[in-house]
Amino acid sequence: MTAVSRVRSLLPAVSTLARWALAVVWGYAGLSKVADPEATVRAVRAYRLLPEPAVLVMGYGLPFLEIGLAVLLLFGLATRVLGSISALLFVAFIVGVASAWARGLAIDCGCFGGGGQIDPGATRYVQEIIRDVGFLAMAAWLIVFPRSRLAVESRLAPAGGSGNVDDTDDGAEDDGAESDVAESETNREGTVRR
Amino acid sequence: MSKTSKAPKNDRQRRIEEARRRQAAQERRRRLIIGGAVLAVLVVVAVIGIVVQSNRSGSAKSTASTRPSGVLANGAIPMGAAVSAGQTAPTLDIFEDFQCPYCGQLEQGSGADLQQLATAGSVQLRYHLLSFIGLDSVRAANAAGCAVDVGAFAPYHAKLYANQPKENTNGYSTDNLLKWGAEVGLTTPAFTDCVRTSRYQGWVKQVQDQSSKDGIVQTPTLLLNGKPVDNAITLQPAQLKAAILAAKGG
Repeated sequence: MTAVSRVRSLLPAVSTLARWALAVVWGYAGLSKVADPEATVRAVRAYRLLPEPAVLVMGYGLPFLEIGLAVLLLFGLATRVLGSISALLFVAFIVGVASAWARGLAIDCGCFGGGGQIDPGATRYVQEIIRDVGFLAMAAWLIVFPRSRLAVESRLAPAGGSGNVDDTDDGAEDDGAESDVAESETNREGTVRR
Repeated sequence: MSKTSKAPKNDRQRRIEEARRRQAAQERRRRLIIGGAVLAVLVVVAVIGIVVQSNRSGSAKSTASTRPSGVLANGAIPMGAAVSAGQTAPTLDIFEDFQCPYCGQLEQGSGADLQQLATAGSVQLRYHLLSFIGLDSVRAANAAGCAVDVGAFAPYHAKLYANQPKENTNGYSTDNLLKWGAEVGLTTPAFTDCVRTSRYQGWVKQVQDQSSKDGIVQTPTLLLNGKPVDNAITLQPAQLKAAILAAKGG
């Protein structure tokens, strides 16, 4: 086993950690907002970016979307899709916070409940953006390395499953790029044995 | 897929390639189905959320019909010169949260001046009691609404600010709100009951939502004849008083 392949064999475990960490982030974000829809709507409104109907849709829908993401990430379904949606949301949040900052608003991001107008001296835009960039990095990791251990999607075998489906390494989306050589070795052996 | 570029050497290799292609196609299909299902689930969940949450806040709004006597249509508590046609006294909208420290400073510095000006008919004050800082704010605003009903808003308002607790430390507890009420003579069962049952919760929500929609993003915010008062003036009692006296009714 070469050093490179040893590192590669660790990737799915790292992806599992990233997946669970993001699940915790989304779960906490959603649960802390879902109980008080009015406060969430106010938090969204305080950004002064969206028209009122969109503010309501966002304030009411976002917490549920976040909880949905958390549950799906926890189980590990379509990890690359979830990573992409997560990344899009984090980019949107970063843009929102940065724009509030640039426009001189004094708001709390409302990322984990609360939110809305606050004392101008109490804004934490830098911390909020750094934190979101960290989350964005985890989401990006899942886009690049979606295959993870303990993921439900690797248990959903295609019809007439082949030899290597139960291999925990075989997450959903091996688009080929990452582990071509190792992959074709297993595949060939698997196919030959049949 | 690195091997697919090479031409298969024999039948066995071709079969292997064929099997691998089939497997890859299957894999793609499977991935598409899971991805689509996941997206569909998320959309459905979000839509359910929107419906559930808008129903919840809808039921909160229906109780907004219960509001303190004499409050304006937008929920503000008027005080001082009556506003009517031909009226020359300016209006001063005050957006404040009982828990906001700067609102406490405003009250400390200008509270007495404002009351005096209002009593003299030189200004109409319109108090918008916001409650975004926390549950203490909601309870305090509700209790202040209860005080409006018995014509004791001004002294009770001053009393609450004089005892302003640290934010969200349960300082505006029901017991404290009743105790401070008693200290300004609010001992009627009507007041006590109103505070205990949070009778004006719907109104408190309405005031908060309205001001949020109107773009009030910080407290205290003062609007003199509808125009924002500079932050630098808001907390300078002498300048604020001068600005009010200089303003003509809108």
